[in-house]
Amino acid sequence: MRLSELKVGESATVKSIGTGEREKRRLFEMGLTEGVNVTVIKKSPFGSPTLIKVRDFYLALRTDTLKRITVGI
Amino acid sequence: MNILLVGNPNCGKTTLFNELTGSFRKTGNFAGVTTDVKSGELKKGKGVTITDIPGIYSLSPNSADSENAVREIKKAKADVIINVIDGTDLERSLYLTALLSKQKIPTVIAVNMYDDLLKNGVRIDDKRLSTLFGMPVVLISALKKINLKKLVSVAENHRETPKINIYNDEKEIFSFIEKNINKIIVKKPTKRETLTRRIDGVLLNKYLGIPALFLIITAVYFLTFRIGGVFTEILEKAIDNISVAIKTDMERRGLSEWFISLLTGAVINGVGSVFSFLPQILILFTLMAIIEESGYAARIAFLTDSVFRRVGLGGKSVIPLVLSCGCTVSGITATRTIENPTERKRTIFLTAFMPCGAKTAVFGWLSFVLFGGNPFVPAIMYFSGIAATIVFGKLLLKTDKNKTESGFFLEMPNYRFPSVKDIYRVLIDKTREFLLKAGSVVFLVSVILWFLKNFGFSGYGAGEKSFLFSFGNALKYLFYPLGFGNAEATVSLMSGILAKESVAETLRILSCDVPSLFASPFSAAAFMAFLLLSPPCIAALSAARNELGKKEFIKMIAFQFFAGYVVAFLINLFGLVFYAHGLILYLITVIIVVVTGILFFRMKKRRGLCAKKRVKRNTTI
Repeated sequence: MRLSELKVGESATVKSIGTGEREKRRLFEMGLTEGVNVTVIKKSPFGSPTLIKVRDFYLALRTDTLKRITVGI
Repeated sequence: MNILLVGNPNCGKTTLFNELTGSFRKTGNFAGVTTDVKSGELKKGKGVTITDIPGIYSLSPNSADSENAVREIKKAKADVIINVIDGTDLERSLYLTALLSKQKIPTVIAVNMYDDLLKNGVRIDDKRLSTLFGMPVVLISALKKINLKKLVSVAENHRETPKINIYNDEKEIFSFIEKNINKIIVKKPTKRETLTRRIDGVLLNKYLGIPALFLIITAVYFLTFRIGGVFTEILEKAIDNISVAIKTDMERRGLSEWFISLLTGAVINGVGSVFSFLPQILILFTLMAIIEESGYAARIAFLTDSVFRRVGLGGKSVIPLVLSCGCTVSGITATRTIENPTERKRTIFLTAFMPCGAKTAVFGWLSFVLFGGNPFVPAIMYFSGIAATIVFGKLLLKTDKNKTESGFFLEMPNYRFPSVKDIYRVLIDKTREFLLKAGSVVFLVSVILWFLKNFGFSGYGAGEKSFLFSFGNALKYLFYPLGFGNAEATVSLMSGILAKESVAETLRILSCDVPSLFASPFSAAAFMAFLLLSPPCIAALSAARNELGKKEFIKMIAFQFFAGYVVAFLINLFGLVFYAHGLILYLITVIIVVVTGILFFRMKKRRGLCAKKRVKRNTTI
């Protein structure tokens, strides 16, 4: 399933990142790697961006990006 | 000896820098506050230079500010690197540390936020960490000044380059960290983190978040203009009294007329009018510093990103736009964190639409002189700035050929109680900046203007024949359709090129009856709209030129002038419905505009149709 489909409070493990190379690299450098555990913390009132917890910090990503990240439980 | 501070954004590098060098560099609780490289001398001397660079996540540059940072590292002028890492976010921070281990520069790890860790009973095995990365480790708190001396002495004495090979491929780094992190630290959510989540439960709430944002913004305006306004009035009266007192004194002493005029008219009143806005500027900057320091600025970006996307910008453009409300220069430099180059360009184009401190000062004065001190006037100008950003943002988006999507990454830092020391530092910085500007640029402008106003080819007291009037008379026709086609208004706007504050001061010097310069209240509004939207002062222009190529820079100026002119024109036109002045001339202008508009849209339609036909042809085959 896609990371964008996770509900607030749910956690999952990142399976693959299907964004462009540049974005993928950026995400990687921030700790969002294949195999890492993420938790959805909050969604913006307008739906995008979404706040997720990765490793020890909190990152807000747009829905377009989240749609391209597949996760599994 | 050169020490370089390297670390993730928002890890406390700049606080450390300030403590070590005793300087007043601005800090803030979101990524993108430090946008350039700055050096200072270590406080206790001994010829040690410390350099602070923007926060980075890796050594591959992703945005303009990280490019600067990486360049500084690669320059290899540093003798030692102090890698500042956030102790509450170790796992991610160590990625950069691993990368640094291959840079062949002696590196010391400074684990910051030690006070936070102690408070939460989190222990770090610094010896383990040190062995794993082959670098000495010092646990510090830049804020509470813990172990800073120890850090400096370790750094000064460390000469060995890292010898341990942590990885062969960068992809292995996180696995390495994951394998070892539990031996270094036992992870536990800190009290601060829990509190942050609680606060965000309200401030980022689906229903409460936006209202809270509006409330906070309204509070900022109220405090700046209502409260600040009171002090401004007091200062203005004081300056007036001083001016009159000096004038009568000098007249009694029989000093020459032109000298008295220069001193009271130009110097005291001119520079004084800028001074009187110091209270408002200070309050505004304090409030903005609090927003930045506390971490709320990131929340603003989070809440508004969606909305800004529709005009081709994003949540990251919000910070530059908000900073521009203080000074456009800081807004423009803050755009370095925007990764997408077209988004960045558009943000720079639009930041000037936000009323900066100087423009706000002028609006405040104008609202006093023209609208009886109506407090809604500055608020309307702010909303107009926002509206203009939206409308013209959409326009820019339509004319932008490539619509490449860019990644958006916003780190949400934990809330931090704004340190009084840091706020104080910001204030001192801004006051110094403001006073210097007033003391130099505005002083210069005042004197030059005074000269041009009072001297003509016939010498002193030329009045209507002065240089200024001749110049203004020539150009005033340009502003006739806007409702202020007179020399005084024209010249004031020109003086705004040097510093927007001068506009108020120039009007004051040139005219004793300012309201009469405007054909109608709408013309006055048009004047303010033009002031708001037209190209910013020289300082901002040079900041923009720094960030844009020559072509884009010229496009920006044309765009802003166009925006200012058109909007002012429309406002004045609207006012005509109520006040018929020189109706015929306006009617002619309206006809010209309408005809041009029709032709323009016809052209666009034709182009659009051609494109449609082309697509049709391709798809039918």
